[in-house]
Amino acid sequence: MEWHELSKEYFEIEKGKLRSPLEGVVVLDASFASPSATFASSLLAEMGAEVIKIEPPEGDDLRKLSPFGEFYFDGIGLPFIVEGRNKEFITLNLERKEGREIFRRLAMHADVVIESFKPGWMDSMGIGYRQLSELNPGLIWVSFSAYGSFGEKAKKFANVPDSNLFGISMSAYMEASRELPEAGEPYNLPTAPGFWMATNIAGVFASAGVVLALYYRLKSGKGQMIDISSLDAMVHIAPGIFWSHAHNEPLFVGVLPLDYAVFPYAFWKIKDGYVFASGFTDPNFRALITQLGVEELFEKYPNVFARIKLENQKVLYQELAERFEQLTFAELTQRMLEWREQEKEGVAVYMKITTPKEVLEENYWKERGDFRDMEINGETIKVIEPVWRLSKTPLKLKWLAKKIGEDNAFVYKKYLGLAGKDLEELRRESLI
Amino acid sequence: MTKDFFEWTKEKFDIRKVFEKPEALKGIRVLDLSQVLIGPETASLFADFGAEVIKIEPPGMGELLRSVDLWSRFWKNNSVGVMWVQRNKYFFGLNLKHPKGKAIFYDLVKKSDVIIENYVPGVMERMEISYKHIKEINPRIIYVSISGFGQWGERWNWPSWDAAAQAASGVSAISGYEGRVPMKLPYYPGDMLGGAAAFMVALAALYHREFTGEGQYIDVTQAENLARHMSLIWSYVSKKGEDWKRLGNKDASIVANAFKSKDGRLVTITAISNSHFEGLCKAMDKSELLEKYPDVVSRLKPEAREEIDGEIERWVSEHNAEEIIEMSAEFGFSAGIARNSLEVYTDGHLRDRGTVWMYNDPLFGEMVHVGPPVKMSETPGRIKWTVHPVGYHNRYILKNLLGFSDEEVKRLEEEKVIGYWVDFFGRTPPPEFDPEKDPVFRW
Repeated sequence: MEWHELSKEYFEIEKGKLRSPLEGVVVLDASFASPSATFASSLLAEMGAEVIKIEPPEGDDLRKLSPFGEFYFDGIGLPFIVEGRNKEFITLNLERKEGREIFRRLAMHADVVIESFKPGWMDSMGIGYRQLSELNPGLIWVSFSAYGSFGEKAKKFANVPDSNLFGISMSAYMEASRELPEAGEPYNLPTAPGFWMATNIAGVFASAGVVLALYYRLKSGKGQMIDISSLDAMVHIAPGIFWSHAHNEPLFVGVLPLDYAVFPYAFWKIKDGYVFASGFTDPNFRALITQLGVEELFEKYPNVFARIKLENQKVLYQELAERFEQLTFAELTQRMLEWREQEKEGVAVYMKITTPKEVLEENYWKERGDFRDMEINGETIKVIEPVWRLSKTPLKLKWLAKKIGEDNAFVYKKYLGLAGKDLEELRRESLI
Repeated sequence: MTKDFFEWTKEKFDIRKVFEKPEALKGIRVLDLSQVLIGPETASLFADFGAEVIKIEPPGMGELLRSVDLWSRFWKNNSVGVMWVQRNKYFFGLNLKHPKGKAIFYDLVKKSDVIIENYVPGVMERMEISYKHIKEINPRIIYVSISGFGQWGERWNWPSWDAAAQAASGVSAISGYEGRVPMKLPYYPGDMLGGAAAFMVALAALYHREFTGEGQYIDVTQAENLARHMSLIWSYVSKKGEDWKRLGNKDASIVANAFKSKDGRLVTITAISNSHFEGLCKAMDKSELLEKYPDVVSRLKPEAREEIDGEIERWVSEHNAEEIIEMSAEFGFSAGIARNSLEVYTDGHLRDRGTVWMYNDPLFGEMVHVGPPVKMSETPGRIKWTVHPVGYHNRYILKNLLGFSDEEVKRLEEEKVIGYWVDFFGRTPPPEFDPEKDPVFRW
């Protein structure tokens, strides 16, 4: 049996019957208006943790976001619906002393607390990590903020909420994402990716931190505090930007559509759309330009040192652009396949730049089971599944966001034994 | 009286005390068979938090990325690019095509917890070191295979680079400006975001193993990982029936965009919640904007956004960037400057946080590295060293871990089972390095 058939068998599993990796872990997500914390708790919930999302009685403002203010399902916008996955939704008024007392009691049952309040606020209210870890020493506490809970500027800028564009811009990632000066404005100005890269990656690192802390707790019994910002996360994934200065390099500049380390490694316009093409080692470069019918360029640019020079990249990009414009994607792949069949040296890589709508129609994603139609409020929407495959403890998508306080009865009964009249009382007092 | 919160956190997270604290992954051994960025970054994250990561390279040329550097400059004979993702590892030059090399690898497998590889699917199988083989030797192993499109499915044998995954997943098609060539997101996020996710799920598998003792197989792909990051966009496009437009810096779901300041900087402004927007309006002295658009939903409609963005644009253009940053702290909205590399490098705050990590590298001397992305009070991550030449830790691993004698090591060298670097660009040690006098190399 070939590997791609055999490997598939490892994942032909009945997800529902298998244990989730974080089964039994209880997470309180008290974050507010924080896409990064929300993504983190989504990931933990996909990995099987019981995530209890705590909102003020009027709900998290994140519920109200939706692209162009367009689609709402019972008042919930798309970002919250999609990343509300697998969570339980309760309300609790932390502005009130009695609400904070309930939070303290809930935290005694929790393994993890996630929060995004202004650094120091929970502490000043007596329900911060410092106080609650005295009562529950195994507690793992995750704080999300823009400038973090420590460091030179943390106190002064505690008021500043974290955001995607904050992490993208302050990390210099945005500065690296700009076209060459000759492109003119706005194209040569710093540009952010079209999705929430900074807040999402902060969420991924935070949930990795939670699992690290859970693992360490198994060995030591000790909990800890985790501090994260989208700025730290962005700096981490783009280290080379600031790093140049340690080696006395000049300021880092964005050079899109070119690259600073490899060429050709770029996007071009083709007859029927756009393509990524690459072949930066000598044999791969030769394969690429021969397939494009300009093999004579090799003599002029015979090694990576010649090709990587910015002025040479510009010339080469233009030369190749004239070729690419005359070809369709099918013609390009045809040339690549012929090359491969003739067993010639070198590999040129082409990839069509695919739009979201096209992706949703492709068989590849369907076969991999990456999207699922789900019901919400009587309507069907398509959502992305957890995409990382574990053979013994699969990640799961169980349900989407629910209404404000929908799980109040269940959660308050389960953890605090509150039911019926007790809950009515809390409701009357505007605590939930 | 209790200590001020920030005094307390300052002590709790003090990076000068990091090396006195325990490491979360102490005792975990990772065999890193990967190359280029995505797999190496996954393994580096393990090493940041204390795992013993053994990077296995073919003797001689070693890892492919050793040939690649920014503008091909090669600082102290080495690729700076390769340094990003080779943190705290042990460098083992082992010939896996030699039967004795494979036997040594199998011995290591028995003593290891995690394997990470990112070859084209099928390569490990042909070399008889795929999960199928490894689980027979050590069923507790967590085997992480990373690829462009997955071990199975119709694209299983497609070669991939980060930008190929960007192209295939849709992240590029939604980035940049309409009418332009879509944006190739810089700094290889297909790799770096994917490496972070692979680390996260491998940790989850490790945690699970503590309860059941069972290892497992993990399939992580560049393309699907990027698609996961697009989150709501899939739901929007399928509901709308139309494709997503490229919006430049404008966020469709949040009042957020970038604007030019008086002093010519690009400033990002974000107001997610009602209170953020209130703070922004106060800073702009535009209470009428808040009255006109009192709730979050009303602000997101295209006409409203045009008006609001227009007001912010004018206001930003009348102030210097630093003034706006000061006001963000006073009024509680999110503002950033599109900073340049030097501003990040010299940012005392990021140095305090160990995000920009200054240290003395055993091989390269005074260095900077990117510190752990998540700050942990009890088991903080740390940087010890970066890339070493191919085979630098051969003797250390063979003698220390596998009990080989000096003579046996010598024989393995002669039989070309193990090997070292070659004198070729990107492979030679820094000029200051003297192999004869290096105690670790001579182990």
